[in-house]
Amino acid sequence: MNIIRKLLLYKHLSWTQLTGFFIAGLAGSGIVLFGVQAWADVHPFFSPDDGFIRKDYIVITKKITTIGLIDKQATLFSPNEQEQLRAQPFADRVGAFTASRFRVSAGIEAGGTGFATDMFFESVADEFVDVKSDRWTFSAGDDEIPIVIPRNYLNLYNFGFARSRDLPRISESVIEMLHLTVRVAGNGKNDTYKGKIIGFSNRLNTILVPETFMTWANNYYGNSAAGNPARLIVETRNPADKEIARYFQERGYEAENDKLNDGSVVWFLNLLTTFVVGIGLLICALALYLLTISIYLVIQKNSEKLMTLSLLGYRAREIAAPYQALVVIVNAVVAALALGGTLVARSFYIPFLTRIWPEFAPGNIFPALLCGISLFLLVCLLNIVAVRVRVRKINTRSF
Amino acid sequence: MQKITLQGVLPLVFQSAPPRDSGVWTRDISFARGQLYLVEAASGRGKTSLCSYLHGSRLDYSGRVLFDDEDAARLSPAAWGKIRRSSLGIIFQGLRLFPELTALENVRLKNRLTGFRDERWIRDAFERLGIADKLNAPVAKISFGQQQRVALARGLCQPLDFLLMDEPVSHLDEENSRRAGELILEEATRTGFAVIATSIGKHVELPYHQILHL
Repeated sequence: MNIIRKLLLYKHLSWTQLTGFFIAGLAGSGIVLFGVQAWADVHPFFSPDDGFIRKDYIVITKKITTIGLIDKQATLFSPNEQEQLRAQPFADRVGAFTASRFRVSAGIEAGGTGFATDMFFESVADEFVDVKSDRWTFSAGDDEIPIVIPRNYLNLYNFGFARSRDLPRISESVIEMLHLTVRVAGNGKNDTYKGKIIGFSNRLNTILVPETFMTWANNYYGNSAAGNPARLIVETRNPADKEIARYFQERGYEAENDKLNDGSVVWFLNLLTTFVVGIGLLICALALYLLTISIYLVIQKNSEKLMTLSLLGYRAREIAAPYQALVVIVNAVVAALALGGTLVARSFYIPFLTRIWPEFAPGNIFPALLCGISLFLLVCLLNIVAVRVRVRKINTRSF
Repeated sequence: MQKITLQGVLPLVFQSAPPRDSGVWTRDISFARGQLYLVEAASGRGKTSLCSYLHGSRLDYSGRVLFDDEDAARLSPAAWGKIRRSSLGIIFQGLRLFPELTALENVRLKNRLTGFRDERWIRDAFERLGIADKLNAPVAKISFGQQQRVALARGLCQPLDFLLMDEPVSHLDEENSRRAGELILEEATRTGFAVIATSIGKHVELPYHQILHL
């Protein structure tokens, strides 16, 4: 056995205090790591965009009131209103939905029979469309119109209609194989196009066509002059911004989807995580304090020995080494157990969350790993410095 | 280190009434490597203080202590550590052994720092000092006389230019005191270090070159 270690540590070490630190440190680190890992796993689920810098899109309309029935302009966004919205700090970008000003019907024909229905198209600038595809283009003269429909529509059929009528469910790939016959009429013209559903949108609750098609077709088939948009899409980094809710409420705008709610969930999640991690860090700090005090106490009890070692010619770092090795070992065990505990807890909550939300996709364990290593290094560094300072103080007393 | 010089050194506690008849305090004297010195004094004259000043554990004096030409009071802790490992040894009056360690561990504790002696030398020294049977005995369990000999063995486990001994044989009988003196003289002659021993009357037998009265 190393004589120095035997001399300086084993004789005066309080195992009760060390156990106290161990338990407190484990609890603190465990809470921090679990909080961080759980946040990292769950947080992306509430973020509709996959990007690193999360952006939210809010589709807004005006409230339909009784007056709106008479004055159609009251439900539309004037250029002035659009400009004011664009000028708001929360609005990174604002896009307008363009409605078709011609008649559209679409149908499916098979073996000489089929059905068709009147419908409408809308378009919005491509940067707001959450379906990225090479086929999302249209040039005058093309006979095929790419279409994006809301994923809700398919879900409505599959989980509502098809289920109640015992009809087969249709997958997205089957829908994408369908050829629609789109008839467009207006301005004395009447043409037939092939309609192709190329994707499904989670963000836009409308039947979308490329803006290039809409501009051309409104011009070519349009029966009336271009009007103001009835719906706008706002890109924002923080849908939970209270200013947004206030601004919308003041002007009688309504958010079409529940992004504002989503934002509240994210906000609440962030708050909860901050709180939990904060408590964990506080416990960690107290544990660190406890360990430091314990080590100080041992050093104090051993001060006469430290002085003798110094008089024999031992260097401060040689005297401090056994204490520093002890804190590194104890902290390493605490960090490893906290990390292990977090992974075990994760193996329980991931299947649970996957059962509740089938589309839930957990992240990786790097957040906990990174946090664990950082916490370990930080605590070790603080302890090592504290021990060094203390030993030096006693060491210089012998001069 | 070749020389230790005292220039008008006086413990602060004696400032109000400096001893007039002292051969050390307030004088300019030098200790040279290779010489054997005995500092004799009655109790309370500052023998331990002198050792402490020379070993750097206390600085409560006026005047200057020079190691060759360097003022000892200005040395850094690191420099003191180096000197204590490689040049200046001490046998404390209070011994400063670790009671929870065995006699052998106490000696090894110093030797692992300097790597100066091999295990055979240590065991041989214990044999010559008459404490071979106490090698593995905890220091707390052996007599003060035996502890003095363990401290002596420890004090020799390093390269030396000067060995300070503060009443090193106060609790030894004549036979053991003679044995200790033989070992010290043998090592001093072989490597040329100086001995500065203090005594209250009973001293280790060495052919001293100079006897000073504190």
